Amino acid sequence: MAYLRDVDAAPLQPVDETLPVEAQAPSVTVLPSLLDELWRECGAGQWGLGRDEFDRIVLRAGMGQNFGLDPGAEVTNEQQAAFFRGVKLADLVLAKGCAAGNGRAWEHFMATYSQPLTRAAIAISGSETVGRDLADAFYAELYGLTTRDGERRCPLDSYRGRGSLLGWLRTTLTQRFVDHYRRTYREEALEEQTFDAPMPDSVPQPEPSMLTTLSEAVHRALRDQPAEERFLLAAYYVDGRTLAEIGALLRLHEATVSRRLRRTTDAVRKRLLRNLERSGMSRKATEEALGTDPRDVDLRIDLKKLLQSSPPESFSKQALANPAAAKETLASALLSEERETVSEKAKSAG
Amino acid sequence: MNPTIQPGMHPDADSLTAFAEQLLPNREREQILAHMATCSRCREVVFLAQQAGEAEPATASLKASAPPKLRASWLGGWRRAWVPAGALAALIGIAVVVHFRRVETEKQMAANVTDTLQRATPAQTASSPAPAATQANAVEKAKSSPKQTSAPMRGTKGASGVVEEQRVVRQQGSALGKAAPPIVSPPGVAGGAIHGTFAALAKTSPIGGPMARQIQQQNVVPQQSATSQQDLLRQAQNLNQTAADKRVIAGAPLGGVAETVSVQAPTEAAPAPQAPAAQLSYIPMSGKDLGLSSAAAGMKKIPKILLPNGAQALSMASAETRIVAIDTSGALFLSEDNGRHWQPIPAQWMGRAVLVRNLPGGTKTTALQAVPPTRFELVNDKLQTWMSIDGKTWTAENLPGK
Repeated sequence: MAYLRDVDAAPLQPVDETLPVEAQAPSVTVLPSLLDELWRECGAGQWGLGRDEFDRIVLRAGMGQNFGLDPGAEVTNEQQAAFFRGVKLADLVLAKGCAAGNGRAWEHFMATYSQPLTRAAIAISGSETVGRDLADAFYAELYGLTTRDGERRCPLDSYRGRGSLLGWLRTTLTQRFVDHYRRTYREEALEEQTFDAPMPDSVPQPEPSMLTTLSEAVHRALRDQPAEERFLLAAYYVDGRTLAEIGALLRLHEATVSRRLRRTTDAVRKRLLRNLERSGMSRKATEEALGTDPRDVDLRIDLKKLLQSSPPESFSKQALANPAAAKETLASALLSEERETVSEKAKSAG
Repeated sequence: MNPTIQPGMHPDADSLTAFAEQLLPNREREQILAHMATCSRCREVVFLAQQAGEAEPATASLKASAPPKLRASWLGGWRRAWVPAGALAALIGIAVVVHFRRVETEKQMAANVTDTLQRATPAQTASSPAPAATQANAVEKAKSSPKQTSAPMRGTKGASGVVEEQRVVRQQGSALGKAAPPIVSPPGVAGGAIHGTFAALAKTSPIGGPMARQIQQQNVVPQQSATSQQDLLRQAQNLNQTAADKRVIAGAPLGGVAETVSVQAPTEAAPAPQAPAAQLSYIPMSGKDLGLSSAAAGMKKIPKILLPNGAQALSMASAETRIVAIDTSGALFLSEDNGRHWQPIPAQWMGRAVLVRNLPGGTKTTALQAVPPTRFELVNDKLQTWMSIDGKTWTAENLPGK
């Protein structure tokens, strides 16, 4: 006997800003044997969820993502089973239960994730006071105290079970903290700090045409790189992340990250030289262009703009402390060999 | 579902979490990476969440490990005790191994002794070495005049004073070992017999190998024939006493040292080259016969020959598988299976038996002529002799009045 149930589709949130998707839910047929199996595996009955509510949550979650298929595609029973086995179903049911206002689900959620979330907030903010405040505010948001258009909004409703619920909570908490910091850090009053006037440039400024050519060549060289290598360059040279941090995120060894960085840097440099020569510059002019002081190049071609499209500055402490130095690092890595060549030639000529 | 990231928009927390947990398919992972390569905000979010997640397991593991802390400390205490316990176990193991090796060595030595006794031939009997007194005397003289070592010693000195000279040898030890010139056995005289006392001396000597070699070389000296029966008996008694003294000196338990003391001496005073082989006793504790090298003869342990009454053999002689032995109290024992089983022989002689030896039966001259069996000879404290073929029945010989 087929299990027929009409459910409402969960809102699809591919981005941080919730995009309400009110899809007209078609009739979905799910095998009761699959639901029974999912019910046993989920263990939601241990914290008091009813079977009917479980079925409703599961169907709604599957419908909200169309069981992992493109919107409008027909789904088979096997695809349904594969979808439910590919998601964190227990976490998903708990999150949906909390979003639906199930009291037992909230009790279980708080008992399971209260302490880890508070510790994560403290670790993210680096301060216990700020961390606890952040966690409390996040609990309130999770509980649905915020409303939009008169409707109670619960961030847990956007959880789709692709990763663990705890990871999702951490990521969401971090998003809140980063966004708050980005909104407020410019409002901090400058304390009595003295800034030295910039020294006049002793290096002769390159011609604007050369800078334009160089900027385009760098842009093309970076654009042609694979996404992961561009991410490595940005994380290491722009954000100033360590090899260990990058390796932990990508599940790679530090030595592997280092080798890839070096290989990427060499590849970008070769592409840069090739692009410059293709743009009509002679070999000598290419060397002169690459021999330009990297700080001048940074100031003009805005290397950061090439690597990241979002306008906010880097949030990392290193970048905050000295953003020019962070930008200089990548340019230095790209141009160091050429600068050495030019300096050697200058010495020999001089 | 793979949401395409629109320009200016960020991946949702679900996708970032799945990316950090390596749960995204390759295509979507590339999209996330491409976005993060240009989005410092998402990079910050991912890295911060990753760091918070890395700090969490450590805290959780601390919390989880808190209850079994008591058990860990209990194990920790035992962990400290593992070192002495392991050392003790290793010590016990070494002791067991050493014990069993010693037992095996003793068994092997006992087997060697019995084999040696079985292989006792008239030639060996005839070539028994010179008395230890002469040898020691030769060593003592060798210090001053090495050239006068071999020939002048032959048959010139009796066996009396052998104990004192042995002590001299023992005290002068290694120096003598270097100073003593090589002593060459004369033609027709086979050397290599080590007196039981010397074996015990070498065993208990702290000098070790060189001393043992020196002693063995001294025993190769050609035999002396001019010793009297009285000297012989005195020598046997003195040797036994000396061996007992050395056991005490060496700190070994009484009865735990394997001296099989045998006394060697010709029964007639005659020059060594002409000494009849039949009148020489066989000394079983030969380093050569025991299969010992000259260097290690003094170091290897002499097998224990304990008689049924617990006493040690004072004198012993063998023929084929039959062994007769006299203990320190003068009782005679017989073994017909190479010393495995012993039976006491009732006294059929007068006085106190002090020496037993075997006399070869002679040589086979023709094919039809039967080889006379080896006879045992027993000497009492009055230098009277009794003869026996089987070791059980003894008949007096050369008794006054007979």
